[in-house]
Amino acid sequence: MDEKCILKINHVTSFLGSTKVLDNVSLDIKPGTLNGLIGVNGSGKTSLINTINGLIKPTEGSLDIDDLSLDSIPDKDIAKLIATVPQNPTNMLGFSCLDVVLMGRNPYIPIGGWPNGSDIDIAYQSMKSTGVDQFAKRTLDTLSGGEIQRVFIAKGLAQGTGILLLDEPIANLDISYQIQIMDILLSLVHEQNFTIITSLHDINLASLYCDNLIVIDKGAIVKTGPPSGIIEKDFIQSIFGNRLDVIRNPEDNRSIIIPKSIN
Amino acid sequence: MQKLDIYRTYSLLIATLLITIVLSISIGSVIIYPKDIFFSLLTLIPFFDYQADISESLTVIINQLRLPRILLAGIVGFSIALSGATFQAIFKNPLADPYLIGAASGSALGATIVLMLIGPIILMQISILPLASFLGGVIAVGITVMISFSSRSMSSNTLILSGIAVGALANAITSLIIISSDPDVRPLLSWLLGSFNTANWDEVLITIPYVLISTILLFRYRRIMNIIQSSDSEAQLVGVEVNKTKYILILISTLLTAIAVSVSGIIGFIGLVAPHAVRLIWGYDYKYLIPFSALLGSIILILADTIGRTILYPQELPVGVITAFIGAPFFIFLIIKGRSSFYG
Repeated sequence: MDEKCILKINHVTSFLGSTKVLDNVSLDIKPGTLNGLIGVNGSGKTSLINTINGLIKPTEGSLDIDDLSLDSIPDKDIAKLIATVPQNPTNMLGFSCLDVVLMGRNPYIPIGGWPNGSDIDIAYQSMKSTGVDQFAKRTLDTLSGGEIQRVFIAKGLAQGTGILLLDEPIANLDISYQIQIMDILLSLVHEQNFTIITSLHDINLASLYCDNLIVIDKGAIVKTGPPSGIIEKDFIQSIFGNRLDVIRNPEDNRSIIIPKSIN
Repeated sequence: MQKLDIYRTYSLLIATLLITIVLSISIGSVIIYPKDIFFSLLTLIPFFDYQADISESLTVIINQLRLPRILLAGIVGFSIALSGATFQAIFKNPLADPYLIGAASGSALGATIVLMLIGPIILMQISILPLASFLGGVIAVGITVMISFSSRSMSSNTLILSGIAVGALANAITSLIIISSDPDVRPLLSWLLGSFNTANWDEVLITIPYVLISTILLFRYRRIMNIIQSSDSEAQLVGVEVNKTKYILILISTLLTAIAVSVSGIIGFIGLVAPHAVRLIWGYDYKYLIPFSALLGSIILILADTIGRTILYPQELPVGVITAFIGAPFFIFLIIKGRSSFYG
């Protein structure tokens, strides 16, 4: 443990109702990295994200952000450290994109107050980072799925945190929009030094973009590390089933996963 | 909304409210000209000692009969519309009207019980009734919310259904109390039907501080009301203390309903009609929805009461009948048009 960690998860177990969703999870996340969370449906990806952001309180173990214990931080201040883009954000009917992004400034605005000039500047800056500043005055229902997702990422950025969590940000998007979103995440890490943890269904996109992959299965973390060490046939088949093959892309020598036909 | 539109809308609503007030003072058994209204109102200014050049009976009609009644209708309309808009924000349900979630019926029950206990001691009634109503309203809303939370299918309709059930039960108990009461006390309860015909300055003055404080508090939460239109978890993720906020807002809006019920009985539909009309015209932003609904509620209820006391003159229709005539078709229109076009 030479390098400093921005987020440390120590032996965390958490429950959703009476179901154990995380089982003794430990994880170290380094600052300025893009981390992909992969695993089958129901493996605990969303639960891990919601345990990190404080929506689920762990029954055992602890989380430290910048060496501060998450327990000791009030909810309002967690929102200044960790921003989350949930899987299906509510489509705020009748609100402009700027209104929605400004809601991300809530942790800095007292209850009776309204966003000031600097909040609005930050909101525009965030929208610029995700390429939606030209939609500021438009309502969400006039935008495409990919554009809406970028608005919600901008809302997360407006929270002014160092850590950004995303839950399936590219599910339900066309491949061109998937690439666009992943490019945005990568530039946030490289240009603005964000630390990002995102759950992803597409393992190939995950391994193409992420510095680290975190593989979760039945609420436990089975493997973490750079994609090259994860995308191996035996291991991938043990998690996602044996109807997959791992082949090498001759262009860049990267391992890619393809589904295997029954014939 | 653009800045100019906002100022225009405020001016429009306030001007309409003032015109409505003047119009309502002038219409009635005696038609009064605006000039006389103006001079008569001048005599109300303390220490000014103005002697109006109009007959004393006219001054009494304006200052002691019509004005307090109109102001009370305005305050009640303001409160119910404000309360309705807030309930709709809390429960993210456009049908969450104070009368549909049990707040009003519970308030009426609370007030009735206290009236029965203390009898016709007018002064005490005026000061105690709002508190008794508030207690009744809070208990009713509490039960409604508890039932809908414990239901397995936690759809927003569960809230309305349990509200209707709780409200019906409260109404039944109220009726039972009235029927088994001393016939001499029964006239006291005519106020329950929703009417302003006993309105007086005492009632106006006792409601103002409650309504003023509640309004100031609710106005502070307008930005948060917008945020909680997303999901509870999304609101928490941007640092909103969701449950605490909801409890505070439920208490304030129930208080507003209780105040309204304690002076005017049960008047339905204003809490539904005013915010919806505002949404249709000016959109969903609670920053404006809250004040515009309150002003519109005020205007609608003053107009409804004026219609009620003049349309079948010398008979007087309870204002609740008029609001039902306006509100019920509007409610049906909302159902037909479908929820989806109002909220996500």
